[in-house]
Amino acid sequence: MATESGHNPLEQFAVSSAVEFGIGDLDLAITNSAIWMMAATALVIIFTTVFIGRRSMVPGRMQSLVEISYEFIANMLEDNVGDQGRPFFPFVFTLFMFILFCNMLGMLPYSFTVTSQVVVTFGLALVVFIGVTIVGFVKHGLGFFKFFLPHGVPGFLAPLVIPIEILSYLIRPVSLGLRLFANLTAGHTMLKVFAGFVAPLGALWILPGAIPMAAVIGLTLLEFAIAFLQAYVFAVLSCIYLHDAIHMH
Amino acid sequence: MPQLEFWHFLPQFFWLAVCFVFLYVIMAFVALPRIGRVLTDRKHRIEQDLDGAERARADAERARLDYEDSLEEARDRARSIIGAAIQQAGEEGERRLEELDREIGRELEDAQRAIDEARTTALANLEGVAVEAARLATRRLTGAEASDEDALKALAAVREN
Repeated sequence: MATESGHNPLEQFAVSSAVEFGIGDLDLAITNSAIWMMAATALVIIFTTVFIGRRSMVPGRMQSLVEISYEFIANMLEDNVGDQGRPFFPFVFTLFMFILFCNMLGMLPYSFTVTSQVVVTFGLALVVFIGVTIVGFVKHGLGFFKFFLPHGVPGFLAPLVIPIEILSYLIRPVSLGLRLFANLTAGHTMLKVFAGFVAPLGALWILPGAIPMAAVIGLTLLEFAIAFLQAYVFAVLSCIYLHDAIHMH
Repeated sequence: MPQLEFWHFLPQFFWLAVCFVFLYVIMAFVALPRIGRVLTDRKHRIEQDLDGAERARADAERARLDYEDSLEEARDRARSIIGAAIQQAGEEGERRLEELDREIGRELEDAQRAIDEARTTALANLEGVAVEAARLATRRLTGAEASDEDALKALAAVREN
């Protein structure tokens, strides 16, 4: 890795403590990551409360955007879980908006991408995983264990199917968290790498510099799409897991 | 990879939990109910307006039917009035015709009477002329003088034959 600071494409993911804070021996410092989480939280709150403030019959531009987000998530939940998913709407909405705003804030120059942090994505994935498992047991009691032996599987296959099902269930939070983390980290690293080529190559001649510049512009557009898509994927998968827990396959 | 440095796991997770729970509470109890209310209010309003429009359409349809009914009624009435007028006019014409016939008959009688009178007068004059002619003829033929009475007698005798 490069020793020169500012040229390391992974440096953008470095967490640093901004305000020291702790309870007892626990270090709970407010890091740059935490500051951007708070910024995303604040922006989501402003977006969903201030912009709907006037509550007009005929919505303005921002109000329709809020309403579209609301209906987008509501429809997604309705399509994937059905009516029984209604109580989980605030959770899925919060999840989607939080990830979306963190991703989008990460697109700002000099900002920090919270969702490129393993702890954050795994933390969110664990919340979904644990929550969905609790929902499953509350809904079906111990009958939820039948989830690991799908209907119609012949008895002699059970010793094979059950471990596979359990493993695939346990792997869910890993894949859920890893997907978001990997997408955001890879995208931002790539942006940085290509951006790092622009100045050295451009110093030689204009054309070699223009090529990585064009790549950076294209990647930036792609990253915006990914920022939305990954938030959507995270929310959809959470809905699908919720569906499994409520309806058992 | 800076993401894997262990020291920031706990603080990041702690603040993530704080932010997420805070955001969840605000969304669940403040923001989403408000947005939901705006949307349902609008839906109700639209339904209401659609209902109103439907009612207005029904009213218009009813008004149109009423109008057509009254138009039909008016047409019927007009037809009967015209029929009555035609009939009345026919009767009147016949009556006038009869009156005219009577008048013409009366005038014809008058004319007939006048003609008859004229004929009798003419006939009476003719007698005088005949007497004179008879007396002249008698004087020329016989040289004798015939009196008026004789001439009249002779004339009556001729007429009787």
